[in-house]
Amino acid sequence: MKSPLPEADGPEDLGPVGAALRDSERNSRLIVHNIPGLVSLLTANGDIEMVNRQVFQYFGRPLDELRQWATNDIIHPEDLPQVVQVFEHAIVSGTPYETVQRFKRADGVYRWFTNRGYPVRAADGQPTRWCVLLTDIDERKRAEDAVDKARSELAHVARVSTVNALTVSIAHEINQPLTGIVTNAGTCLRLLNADSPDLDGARDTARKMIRDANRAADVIARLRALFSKQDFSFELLNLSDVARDVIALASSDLRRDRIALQAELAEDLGLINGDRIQLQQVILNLLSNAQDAMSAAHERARSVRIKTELVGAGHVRLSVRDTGVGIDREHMDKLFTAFHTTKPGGTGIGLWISRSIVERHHGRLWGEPNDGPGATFTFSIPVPTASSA
Amino acid sequence: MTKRSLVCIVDDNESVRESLPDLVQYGGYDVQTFASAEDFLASPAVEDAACLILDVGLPGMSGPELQKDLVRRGRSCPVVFITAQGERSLPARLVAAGAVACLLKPFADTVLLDAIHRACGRS
Repeated sequence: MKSPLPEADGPEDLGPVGAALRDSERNSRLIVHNIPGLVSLLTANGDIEMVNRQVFQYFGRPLDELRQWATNDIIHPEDLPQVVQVFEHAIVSGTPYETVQRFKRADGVYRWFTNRGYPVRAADGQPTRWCVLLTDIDERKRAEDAVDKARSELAHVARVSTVNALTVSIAHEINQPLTGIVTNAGTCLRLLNADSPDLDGARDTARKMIRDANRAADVIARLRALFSKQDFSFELLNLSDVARDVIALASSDLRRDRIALQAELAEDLGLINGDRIQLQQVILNLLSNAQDAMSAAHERARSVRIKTELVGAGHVRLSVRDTGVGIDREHMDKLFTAFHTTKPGGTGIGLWISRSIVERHHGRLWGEPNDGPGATFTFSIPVPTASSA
Repeated sequence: MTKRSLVCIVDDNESVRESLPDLVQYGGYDVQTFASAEDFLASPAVEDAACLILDVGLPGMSGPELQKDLVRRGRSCPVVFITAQGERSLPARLVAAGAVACLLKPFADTVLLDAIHRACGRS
């Protein structure tokens, strides 16, 4: 293939200055034709003036066809409109541009490239030429796309499994009063259809049906309350301050139950991005669970320790440790499912909501049995890095 | 008049404990209800029950665990399981393990009475 760069010709002997000039030109040509990238030089208004050897090798087309890039298929049709827009804006404004796009190789395969153009300016600042470098990033781009795809599939699976778990919980909870209604209705009909109808018995079963229907409605109302409180308002917070708010709210309650509260709140915590009210709810829920766990533990000293700390550089952690009845390690996961409760009169949604709030903060909430009596519940939330704050 | 067979219902759910006894009594049986396996084991009804209606997902000792415990004590009696857990393969497994039936809540009144009749040797 003939080199597109004009060969330096002219008189053989230009003296030492000419020889140095020729060496310099040779070196430039060496760089341009051997650099691991596709290089082209454009006129001030964006027409292709010259390209290096790699461009010809990649595209396998003559310069005339390359110049028609905006109307033939050498740029992937999905990418073309955006490339045209970015390129035209750069030429008009005289500012550097960069796009990520697919170019068609000589064998017909499209590969991903970065396409970067820099203006060469005259003394008055006006672009006189454009230097363009195309870099093949196909393998990296495909690897990144695969990771993105896996990540979004994972997020989808997580969403679906949360919805599935919730559906199972709701079905379980609603099927109980439905059993009451269906059975009472069956009994009611039998009592009415008997040769001597038992009207008092029938009335009694009808009243029970109403009660069961209201129980089913209560389940729905609880769910509605749960999902209507989804509005979050994020601000930069010190988790120790949030803990102090909650302690102020809860301390008289704890004193009444003769529970000693020990607070170990770190002052040098990193700020987190969080919703103050929602995080207060989580901490209050953990404290009130601790309180309930200790109301059944009569013979021991009742104490709860609330502690905040910075873990590594990346996370702040808050833990609530009690000396209550404790929890088996094997039942720990069940505690976080909706409507699961171990307490008389418990709704079974406190920890479930708490976990969903912490997860909205990109954090984790978990529980562990203590070495001694009681259990510890902990959540950790990431501290935003400088670039994401 | 012959003595009526005793059917014991063990379920932690109040709606179930309130509704089933009327129907079972109407079907010709005596009835007692219990909120947990432990309550049932602590009562004299363990000796007298002709049939157990047993919730699968009881808190504490589960329904299937109670059934095994009774077999170990030599006190086994026919069991009709009831459950609000929608797991499809559960009924077949429990029946294979010796239950008379396993009914998914909510079930029809006739289905429950049929199962009790079979458990008590009436048909």
